[in-house]
Amino acid sequence: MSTDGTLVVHAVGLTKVFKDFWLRNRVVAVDRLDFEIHQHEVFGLLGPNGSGKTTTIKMMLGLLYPTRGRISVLGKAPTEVAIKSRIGYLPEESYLYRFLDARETLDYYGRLFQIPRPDRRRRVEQLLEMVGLTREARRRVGEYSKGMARRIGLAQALINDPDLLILDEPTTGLDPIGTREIKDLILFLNREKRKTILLCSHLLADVEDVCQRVTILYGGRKQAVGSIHELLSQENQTQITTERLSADAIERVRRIIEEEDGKSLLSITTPTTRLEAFFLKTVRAAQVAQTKTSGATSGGRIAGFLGGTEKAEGEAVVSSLIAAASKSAPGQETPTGEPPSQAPSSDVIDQLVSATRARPPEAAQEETETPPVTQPDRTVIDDLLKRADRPRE
Amino acid sequence: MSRIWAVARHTIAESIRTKTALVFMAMMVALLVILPFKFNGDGVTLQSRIQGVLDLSITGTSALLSIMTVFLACSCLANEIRLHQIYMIVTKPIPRWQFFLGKWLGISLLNFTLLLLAAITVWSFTWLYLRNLPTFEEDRMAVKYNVLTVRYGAKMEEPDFANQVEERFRTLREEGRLDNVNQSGQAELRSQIDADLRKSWRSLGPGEYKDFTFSNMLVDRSDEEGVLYMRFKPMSPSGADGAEFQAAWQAGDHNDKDTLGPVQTGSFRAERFHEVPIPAWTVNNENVLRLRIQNTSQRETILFEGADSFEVLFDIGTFHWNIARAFSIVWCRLAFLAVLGLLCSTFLSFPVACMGVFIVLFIASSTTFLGEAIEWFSPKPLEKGALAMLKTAFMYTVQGILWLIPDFGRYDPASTVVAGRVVPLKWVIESVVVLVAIKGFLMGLLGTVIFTRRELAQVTV
Repeated sequence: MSTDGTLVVHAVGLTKVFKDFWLRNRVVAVDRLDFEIHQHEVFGLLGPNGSGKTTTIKMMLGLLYPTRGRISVLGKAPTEVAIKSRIGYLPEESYLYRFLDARETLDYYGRLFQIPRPDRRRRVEQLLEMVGLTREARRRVGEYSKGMARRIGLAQALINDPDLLILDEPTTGLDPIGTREIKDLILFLNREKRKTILLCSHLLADVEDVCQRVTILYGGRKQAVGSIHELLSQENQTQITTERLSADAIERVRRIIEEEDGKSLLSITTPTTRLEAFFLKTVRAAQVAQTKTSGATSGGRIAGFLGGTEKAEGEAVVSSLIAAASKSAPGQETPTGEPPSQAPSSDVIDQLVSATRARPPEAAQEETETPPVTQPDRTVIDDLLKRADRPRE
Repeated sequence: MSRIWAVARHTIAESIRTKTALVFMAMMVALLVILPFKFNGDGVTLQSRIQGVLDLSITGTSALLSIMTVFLACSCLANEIRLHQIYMIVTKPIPRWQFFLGKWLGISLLNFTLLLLAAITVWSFTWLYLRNLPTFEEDRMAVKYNVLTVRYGAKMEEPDFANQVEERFRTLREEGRLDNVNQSGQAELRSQIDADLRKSWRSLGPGEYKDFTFSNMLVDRSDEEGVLYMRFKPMSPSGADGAEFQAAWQAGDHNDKDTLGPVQTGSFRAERFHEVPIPAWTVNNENVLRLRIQNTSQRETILFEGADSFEVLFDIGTFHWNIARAFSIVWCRLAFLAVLGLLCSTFLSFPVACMGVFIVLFIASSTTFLGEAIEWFSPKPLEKGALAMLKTAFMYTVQGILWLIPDFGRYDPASTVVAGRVVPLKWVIESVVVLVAIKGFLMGLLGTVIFTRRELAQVTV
């Protein structure tokens, strides 16, 4: 997803020092932090515990005031009330009112945004359905599990259809289905609705799946910043994915690589499916069998006012989640909105194998899908093809 | 406005669902329902029973709701800050002053509803039940004319003694007796001279008579049965308790024979209030009543000391509206307490804020006493130097703080209602202006500034 360069958040020399009662400097939570968040991007704020992530977010929202430096949000100071109507915030804990039920909670926050009553009611119902809490809407929030409270927290962050969405550990406490839904929602909001999203999380797999750019903090200081691809690509290695090969074919490939190109074959493994996909498949089976649950159900349907389209319920939802989970895997590129690169044609491998007079590969038995390769380094393959065309000496 | 209203609704819901308001509501209802049946006064007169029920109902309701208001005001904001629920509010497009105002509005609306309920309950039990209980005729008349009535006490007009005070003061200066007296001492001297002159004017020596004037007597002169009451408390200048006076009096203007009433005489004990009837038709066309009183005692001097020691009472309204006005004043007190509690909770935790408000409440109930104590601490007339300056500075500082805290004793309508006196609309307006519009507003302004400027997030490093 491309950005137009407009800065949504701009921090320059941002510093926060906490003093004690005697005004002595005790904790430097954020130290001369510079960063930018561009419009329409998903930005990740990473770091270990105590690195200053949440403090930075609080300064962005006006909950804390910088000791030095400055930060602007949507072109204004964080304390400006007007910009808050364009911001949605999910804190690291769901600080909700225990005596309100889910519907009342969302209605209250909707009133603070001065959303007209008909719109407010419609949005509340759509959000409850989206987060899978329609059945539990009349229960007090104080009775909710952590994950359910987290879902309501997410819903209230979206009640105003914000331009800037700030999510602090959004998947904490959620089951894998909920985590997948959150990630799909983030991708949808960014790709389809062009929202800017700041994601703060420890869960690197989640960040990698959705973020376009990240910054890594440690000790309150910026340690690294850049796009996922820039930071994670290993330029000195090539990864090729094929259908299942016989042992002879594998040996011939190894020989070609080592003898012809002088490189080492680092590993040949059988890819595994992701645990997430397996989990979702198992849950699907339970849902099909109509196993009862008093917890949150799978929502999946993005609220209409956020631009979501109508989707089928139940099994179709879980199927889509499984399909989505299976498509993404560790080490894959970040979702940039561009279609993934085509997998190398099986003809290439056939050629490779036929050139070495290997037996054709056996058909795959498992249902597992291997992740597609993106932007492969074709240098070695080209060399192999050229050698395959030359008669063996 | 819709955001303020949303916060107010939320505050009311919180107070009810967290049971805070419900507990106090239950106690209040129990008090108001049980009292009319269980309280017997002196065990003899219905008057004492009704007066006791009225007094305890109004005072008890005010006390219970004051405590509830303190708890609610100190907890609703302090707990939101402590539990970080405030994060979800501050990140919404609502200015912090609107959030503060919404909290106050919610608590005040809750108090209004509960006071309305209390007023209806008190009126119902008093007017519909107690009033109709069987009793002897004299007691029933006393209930009708002294308790379940609304009377206004017109005070006597006093002459202006300013010229006489200055004249005496000038004389003292000419005599050189003021040379070593500082500024505050001279002011105290002036007020003492004024008090002496007033005391002299309010006293009747043996055989002496004086004419006293009462204005704004808004009575129906055409009602030949109409009655006013001359209420007075004679004192002996020597302070002797048990002294007895004889007096004669005649109501009406000696220049207008149509208003001249009969001469009446009587014997009265000192240090006690007495009420004697006067025909309403003795008031002249300009709503002025003139009373000639003669001390017919042989040796005793009669002194009417204090603003309420001599007044003329007349009916001026209905019991129902008097109850309503009385509870309106109670609401103003609660509104001030609410904003004070919210102010404390902007920078203090719940228990500490409660403690602070209760301390202020104690001060507010003792303002008159504290004011007098500070006056006693002020530098003496002949005192000069650094110590006198320090005392003066301390006195003005404390007086400034006491000014900010209202005198709650001044805004207690219970005794007025019990005595069958009118709670004037002017008093209600004064309560609204002083307690809510001025002092409440200043407290709220301070609370808003603190709440806006403070950092609401804690250190989580």
